[in-house]
Amino acid sequence: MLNHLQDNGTGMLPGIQLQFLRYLLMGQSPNKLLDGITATDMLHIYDFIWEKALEIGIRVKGERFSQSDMLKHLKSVEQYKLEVGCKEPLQRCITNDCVLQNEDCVRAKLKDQLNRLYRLISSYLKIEYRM
Amino acid sequence: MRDQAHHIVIFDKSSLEVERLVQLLRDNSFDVTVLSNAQDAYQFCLVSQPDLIVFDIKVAGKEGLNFYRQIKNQYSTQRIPLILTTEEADHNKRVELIEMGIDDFVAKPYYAEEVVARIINLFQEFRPATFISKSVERGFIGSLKEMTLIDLIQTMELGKKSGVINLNRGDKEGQIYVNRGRIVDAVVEDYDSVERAYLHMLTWIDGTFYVIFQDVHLDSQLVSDNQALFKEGAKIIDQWRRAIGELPSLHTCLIAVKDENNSALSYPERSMLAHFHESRSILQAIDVSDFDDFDGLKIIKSLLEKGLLIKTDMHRTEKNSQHLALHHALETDKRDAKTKYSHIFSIFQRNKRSNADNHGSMNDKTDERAESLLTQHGRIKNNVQLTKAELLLIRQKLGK
Amino acid sequence: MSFLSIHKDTHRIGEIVVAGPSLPLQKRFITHLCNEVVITGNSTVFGRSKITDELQIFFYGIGEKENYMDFAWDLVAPKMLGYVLVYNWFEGNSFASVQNLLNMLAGHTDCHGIVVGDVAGMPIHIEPSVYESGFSLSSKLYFALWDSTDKANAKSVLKILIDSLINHLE
Repeated sequence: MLNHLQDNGTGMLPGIQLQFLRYLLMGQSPNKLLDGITATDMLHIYDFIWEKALEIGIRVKGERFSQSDMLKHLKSVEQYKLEVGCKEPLQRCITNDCVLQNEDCVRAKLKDQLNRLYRLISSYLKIEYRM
Repeated sequence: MRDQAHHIVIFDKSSLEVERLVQLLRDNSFDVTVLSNAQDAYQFCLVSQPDLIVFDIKVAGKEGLNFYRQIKNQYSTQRIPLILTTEEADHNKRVELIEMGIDDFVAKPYYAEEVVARIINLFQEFRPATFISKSVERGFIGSLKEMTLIDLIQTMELGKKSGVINLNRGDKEGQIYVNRGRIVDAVVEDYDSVERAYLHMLTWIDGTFYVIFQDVHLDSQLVSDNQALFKEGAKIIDQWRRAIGELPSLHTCLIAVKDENNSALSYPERSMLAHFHESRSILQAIDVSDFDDFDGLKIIKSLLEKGLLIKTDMHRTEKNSQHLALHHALETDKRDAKTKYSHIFSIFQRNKRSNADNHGSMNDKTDERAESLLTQHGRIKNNVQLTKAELLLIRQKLGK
Repeated sequence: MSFLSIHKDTHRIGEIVVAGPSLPLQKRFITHLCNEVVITGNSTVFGRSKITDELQIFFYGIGEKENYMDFAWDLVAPKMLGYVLVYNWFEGNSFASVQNLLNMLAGHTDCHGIVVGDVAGMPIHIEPSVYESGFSLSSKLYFALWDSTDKANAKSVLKILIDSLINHLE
């Protein structure tokens, strides 16, 4: 998805992606970078970081790597919906359909997931995670 | 129809045959210059960059051969097509001449009409810009402040490279010929001895250079080897730096103070003073005077101390003179925009323009300006010039 | 018989631009890959790497920030193999500078490129196996870490760029 967007010139600036990747490899929380980023951009960033997290997971763990292990460290969509008391259908939350109607909610969800991913990658890389 | 008349230089002794050829060429709207002295012909070709040279290698004995070598060894002239006319009857010798890199060959006596027809065909079939010398494919340009002549030669020596180091300082131009890392010849105006020419150019510590890697078809003109020359050169450079340290910048313009009572001056002082009747830089005065560089500096220092020379406001900027060599290279390069190396020159071309336009004003807005430069051209499409096989070859080499 | 001859340029050249906020880093990168390296005027670096007698790669280290605007991108970018942006991994300013340059180049050219963070002599506590093959930013852009004191690392970086080019030709 990201490559498609990038190649069409409508995706995130590569410099921003690079900044997120830099923080990921430094074990630094991305919170500082998320200020001022729209929910739509956060979706792109999340896709990008998810892809990088998979790559790192595979490189670190090799054959022992399992995507489901990685997913276990993230908050499930059901859990998130429950916590925020959302009555929308589950599918809308899975596909982030409400990114334009309820931007803050999507932002909050992605911020939390990104932090979880960053923390997980720090543990894979055996580096200290800093908030 | 030609947009502009092609310029042809004929280097040959005067004869009815040549006169007839000249007349016919002019009738066919060519610009023609006839020269019979090898050094004049070479200098003329350097300056005028003709589209074609017709010459007789035997015109002045050894000089004809020297002329040919100079043309072929000089970066700015080596792409000019050469047509050789000669009375040489020996077939083997003719073949030798062709193997030397002559583009076309006409046996003497010739019919002028035939030569003209061949020249016209030549220009119709191939534009001069398409003449690409095989040997000109790589080189580099730089400032002698950042890389001295000795550094350059040592670099070539390390890689056992052959090529011509073209040097410029002010209005002067010189060449060092290097064959497989060894200095074989050095040429600069007013210096007959190769060794002296080389040592003289070592003092050019603030000019420009452009190096062209190419085969050099010259036998060594030097007795000493590189190491001996470096040793001698290091001494000269040291002396030169000390000498110029006692003077203002060599680009400083000076003018003679009118003083009727100059009779107390020595002959060399009076002679040097005469060169400053109009504003001139120290470097220019030394170059035009008959004095050795070191003597010239000493005399100017003495004249300054005596108050007979004063600084003027007429600055001949160092940058301008430094860019003469680049300009030279750029002009030559225009002859073949497809030459791979044009990119290198383009880099400097941009620098030249921006230095002139934006003197000292490049800081915070650099990114914006660079971006605007890119934006001017829209989104630049990239078409990689190498084939997949070539890329795989690179990949394989990196993998080793 | 006419001996008029047009010498065809049989040499094949691939061009790579090396940029970034530090000229010494550019020089180090180029030096690791080239048999001939020359610091030219205007603080730029030129390097040549011979692959075969007919094929070579030219590296143009275009110097620091003030040189970006002077560089003939419009002439070089359409034909070059790609660009390498080098910076110091540990320096925030160095990163910011390369970030801007990357945005600029990716925004205005569709060239292949790789951004390289130098970790020379500093511990980053990450296994080389994690980063030595680089990370893609898009189908034509990559990021890699390298140790500029190790020649083999420069080769690895170049491999990533060349692989990217090969993949696009497939």
